Amino acid sequence: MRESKDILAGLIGLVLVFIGWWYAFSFTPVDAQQGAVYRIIYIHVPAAASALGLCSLGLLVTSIWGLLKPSEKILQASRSWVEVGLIFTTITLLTGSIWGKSTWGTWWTWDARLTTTFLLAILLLAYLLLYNSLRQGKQRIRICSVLGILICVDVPIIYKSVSWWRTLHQPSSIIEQGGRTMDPAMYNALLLNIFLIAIFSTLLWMIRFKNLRLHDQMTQDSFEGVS
Amino acid sequence: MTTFLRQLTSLTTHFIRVELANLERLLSPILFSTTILILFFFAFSPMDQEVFVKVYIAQTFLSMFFALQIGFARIFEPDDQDDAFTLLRTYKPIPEAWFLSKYIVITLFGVLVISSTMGLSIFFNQSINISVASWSVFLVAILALLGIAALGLLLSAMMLKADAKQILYPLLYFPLTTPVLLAAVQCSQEILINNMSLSELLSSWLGLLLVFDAIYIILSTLLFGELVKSE
Amino acid sequence: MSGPNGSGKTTFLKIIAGLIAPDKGSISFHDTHYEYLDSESNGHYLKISAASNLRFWGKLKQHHLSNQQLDDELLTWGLSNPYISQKLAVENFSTGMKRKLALARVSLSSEKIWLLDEPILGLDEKSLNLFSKKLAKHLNQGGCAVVISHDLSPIRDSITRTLTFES
Repeated sequence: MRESKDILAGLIGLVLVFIGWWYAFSFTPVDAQQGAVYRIIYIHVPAAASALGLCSLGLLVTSIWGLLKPSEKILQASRSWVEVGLIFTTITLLTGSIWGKSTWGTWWTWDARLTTTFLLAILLLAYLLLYNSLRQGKQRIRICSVLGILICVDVPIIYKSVSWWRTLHQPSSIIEQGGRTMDPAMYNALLLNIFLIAIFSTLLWMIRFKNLRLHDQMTQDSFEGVS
Repeated sequence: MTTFLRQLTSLTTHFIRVELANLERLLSPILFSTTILILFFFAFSPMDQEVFVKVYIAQTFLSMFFALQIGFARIFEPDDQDDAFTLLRTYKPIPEAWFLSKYIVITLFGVLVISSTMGLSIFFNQSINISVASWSVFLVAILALLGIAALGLLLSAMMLKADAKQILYPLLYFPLTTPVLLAAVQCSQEILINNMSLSELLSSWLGLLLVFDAIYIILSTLLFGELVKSE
Repeated sequence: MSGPNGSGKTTFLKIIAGLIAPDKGSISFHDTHYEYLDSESNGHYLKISAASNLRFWGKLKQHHLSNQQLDDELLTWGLSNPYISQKLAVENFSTGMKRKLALARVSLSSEKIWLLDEPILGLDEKSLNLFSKKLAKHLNQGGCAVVISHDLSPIRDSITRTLTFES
């Protein structure tokens, strides 16, 4: 019964994402400069917003909670945000590369958001490596919570410093300008997709969190069975 | 306050004594930065005059960052060898005193690494037309050290009992210290190339560097306490 | 504390020492200052001398140890040779010597509570007798000790209570 609820939640999430894409591809005009390829923005920007925004915020809140009231449950919640964040940082980087290639002819640009996302991906991977290299217990919860806080506090700092660095070296790009010069229909479609991806991210987080709790419970039960 | 100062003094003098008892710990990072500098020099020479200063700054700061990373990653090695770290936890020193004592030691060590690296880099990058020797750039490097030392120390404490810390440490250290590296490099370029004044620097990259330092030092001091406190 | 291997004695001692948090329940203390000795390590800084180690731990707890007190303690444990105590790095000590140095630290401490996990590992017969005397003296002076030991003979006379762990 629980499994079917999770499957249903996942399907609903996917349907919502497809609705967002369908709206974006059907009801938005073609960009005057980039043509139809610009529509990758409706995947790229929501993925970045999820990774740099929602997942980072989720990680920060659960990490602070992990320091105040350490428990395996809250650590699993943090870890779930890290894993979901890693998925969306990967999507951001892939779509950013594709967009960069089609727009500027290069697979990579040292744009502030891409650079920050890349560094965030490394940090999230390192979080999972550290998690797996420590023994279960309160120390692991504390250490991972400290790292979670460090990552979340540092990511805006990284973003701002890279942004200022790039400002010195080249004029701000369309990515940096965001929606400032965007057609209202495009802007609305973008906001809708950001919102729907946020819901999808949250659903993914919930499913993964339950999955980790179940795994923990099974491990616990098997130890008690042995003793 | 008296207890804090007493513990700070005991811990600092002790940690300095422990570091001096094993000079390899200081010499290795210095030798490493020397090697990296030489490799950079082979990779980048000969250089056009236009990029000479930028390459000098890049070589020097990167060599320092790599060498300091090695030093930071090993700062708790003496405490870990016979599990003195755990015993120290049972003595319940004031976490801020413990952190600051290690921080003082790691900063002193870092000053030595920076001094030797920068001195050697200036020596290697001698040019008739341009002088790269600058006390201001040295000061910028010290300011960068203050921030990354705090973060490096916290990361080292976090990874004391972790497996594969040799790969994990740089994986965390380099991305987290990117803002400091950027600020230090940009600041140095402004000093050497554009001759920016102090007030102009303070309202741009130097000011940023100071802000980063403050954030990292405060955050690291607070979070270190969480790692070492009694259960 | 006694019991078979893996029954949780060391874990329990570490919980008392505040190194591990219990999953359930709590521990309350009348006095939260204690000396702890681990079974698998001694807590020494291996690159400095025995005397430097003892002075450091003493200073940290504000136990004002005079040089005479330090020398006397090292003498009782057979570590009084000036080269061994003042110059030689502890990493060059044998297992037994490192253990004796750790027990010297415990003995010099003025804490009322000792938490000792397998304190007599690696000790020779003379040192076993010495430990037995030190423990008895500590208890007679109003101290308390929680000891895990598979070999009870050196401490049998001092035992007032036994906590037995079952797997």
